[in-house]
Amino acid sequence: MVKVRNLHKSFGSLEVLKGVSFDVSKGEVVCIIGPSGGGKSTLLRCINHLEEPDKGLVEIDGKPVVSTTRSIFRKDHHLNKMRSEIGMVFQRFNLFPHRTALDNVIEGLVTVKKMRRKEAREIGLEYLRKVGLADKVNEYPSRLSGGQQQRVAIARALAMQPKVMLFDEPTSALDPELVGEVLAVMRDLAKGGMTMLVVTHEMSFAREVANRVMFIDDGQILEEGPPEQVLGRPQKRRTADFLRRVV
Amino acid sequence: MDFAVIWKYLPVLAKGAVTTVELTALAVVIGTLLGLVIAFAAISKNVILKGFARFYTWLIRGTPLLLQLFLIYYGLPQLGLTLSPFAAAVAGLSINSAAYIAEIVRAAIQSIDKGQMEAARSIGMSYFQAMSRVILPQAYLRMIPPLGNEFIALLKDSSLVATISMVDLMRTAQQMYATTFRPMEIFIAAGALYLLLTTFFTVTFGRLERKLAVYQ
Ligand SMILES: Nc1ncnc2c1ncn2[C@@H]1O[C@H](COP(=O)(O)OP(=O)(O)OP(=O)(O)O)[C@@H](O)[C@H]1O
Ligand SMILES: [Mg+2]
Repeated sequence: MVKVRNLHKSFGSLEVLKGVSFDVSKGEVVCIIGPSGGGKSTLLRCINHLEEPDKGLVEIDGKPVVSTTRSIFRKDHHLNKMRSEIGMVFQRFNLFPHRTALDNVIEGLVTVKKMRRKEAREIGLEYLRKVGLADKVNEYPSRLSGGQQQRVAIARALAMQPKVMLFDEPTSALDPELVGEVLAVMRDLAKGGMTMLVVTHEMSFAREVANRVMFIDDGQILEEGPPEQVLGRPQKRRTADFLRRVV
Repeated sequence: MDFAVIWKYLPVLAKGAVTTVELTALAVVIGTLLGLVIAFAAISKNVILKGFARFYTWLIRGTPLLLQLFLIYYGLPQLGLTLSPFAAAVAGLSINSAAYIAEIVRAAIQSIDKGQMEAARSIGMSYFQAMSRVILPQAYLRMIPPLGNEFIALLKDSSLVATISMVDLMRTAQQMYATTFRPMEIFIAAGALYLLLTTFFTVTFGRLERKLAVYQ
C-alpha cells in the first residue's frame, strides 16, 4: 500500500532524512518512535509531499506521490488527487477555525470531490458519529476540547476515504485525561482495517495496536520489527537508551 | 459665530462632500484590487513578483501623497499624458492606498498559522482553493480593523486633491470661506461632514468585524 524508497531530505545543510526505505501493506499499523529531531515528522510530511523530498520515491497503491507542475497557477491534479487519498492528522489539529465541526469534515468532499452539500453532510454526520461527536456537529472548533478537536480532525481526514492515514503525534498536544478518547478512535480505526502510520510516544498504544514498530534516529530507520521485539527486546543500544528515557 | 451661515451653506458643502465620497469610494475599490495583486506578489515565491511588490511599497510609502498627486497631475502632461483633475485624483489616491492596503493584506495572510495551509493541502485542495476557502476568510477578520483605519485615512487624505484643482469638500470649504469670510462656521461645517463620513466607516467596519468574528 505504501512504498518508500531511499528517501532523502535536507533543510539547508542539515540532512534530516538519510535514505529511508520501507513498505506498509494494506491494513497494517506501523508506529514510528524515536528521539526529537530524528526526522519522524519530516518523513510523514514527505509521504504526502508537504515537504518535497530531495531524492527517493514514495508510492501509494502503486502510484507515485510527485508534483507534476512547478507553478502555483497550474493545478497539480495528480498531486491533489494523491493527497486526497492520504489522510493526515497533525499534532496541533489544524482544524479550520471559521468552520463548524461538520463543515470542517465536509470541506474536502465539497471542494475537492465536488460532492453536493446535502450528500456531503450525510457522510460528514456519519464520520462525526463514528468519532463520537454526533452532538457537536454545529460547534466551532474554539468551543471544543483538544480531544474533541482532534477527533474532528480525524473525521475530516477519514471523510475523504483515504487509503492510508498518517498521524503525527496526534495526542502530544492533549491534556493527559483527553489522550484516551483519541487513542480509542485510532484503535477502532486500526481494528477496522485502516492502513496507518503513527508517530507516537504512547508506547502502550504501540505495543497493543501496532503490527510493526520503527525506531527512527538521525534520519534513518535504526531498528524495526514487531512491537514486542523492538519495545521489549531492542537489538540496538540507541533504541534501548531511548526507551529507557521515555518510559 | 453665526450658525445660520452653516445652515445656509451646508447644501453647497454637501455637494463637495459627494465628490469626496466618490473619490474615496473609487480609490477604496481600485486601491483594494491593486493592493490584493501586490500582496499576492509579495507572498509569492517568484523573486521578480516579490521584488516588484517590495519596490512598489517602498516607493509609494516613502514619498508624500501630495508629491505623487503633483507628479500625476502636473508632471505627466510633460510626457504627453494629461489627466482631468478627477482622473488624476483617483489615480493618485488609488496608487497610494494600494501600497498600504497591500501591506495590511500581506501581514494578515502571513499571520494565519502555517498549519492551516498544510491541513487544506493535505485533504487535496489546490493552492487557490486553500487560499480562498481557508486562509483568506480568516485573514479578512484580521484585515478589518487596519483596513478601517486605512479607509478613514484615505478619506481624510483625499482633501489633498484640493491642490490639483479638484473641487472636493475641502476645496468647496476654501472657496466659500473666500466669498463669505466666515471661516469658523464654514470649516466647522466641513469638519462635521468629514466626521459624519469617517463615522460611517467606523460603524460599518465595527459591524463587519462583529459579524465575521462569530467563530471566535
Ligand atoms: N521546515 C524546516 N526548515 C528547517 N529545518 C527543519 C524544518 N522542518 C524540520 N526541520 C529540522 O529537521 C529536523 C527533524 O525535524 P522533524 O520535525 O522531522 O523531527 P521529529 O523527529 O518529528 O521531532 P519531534 O519528535 O520533536 O517532533 C529538526 O532538526 C528540525 O529542526
Ligand atoms: Mg515531529
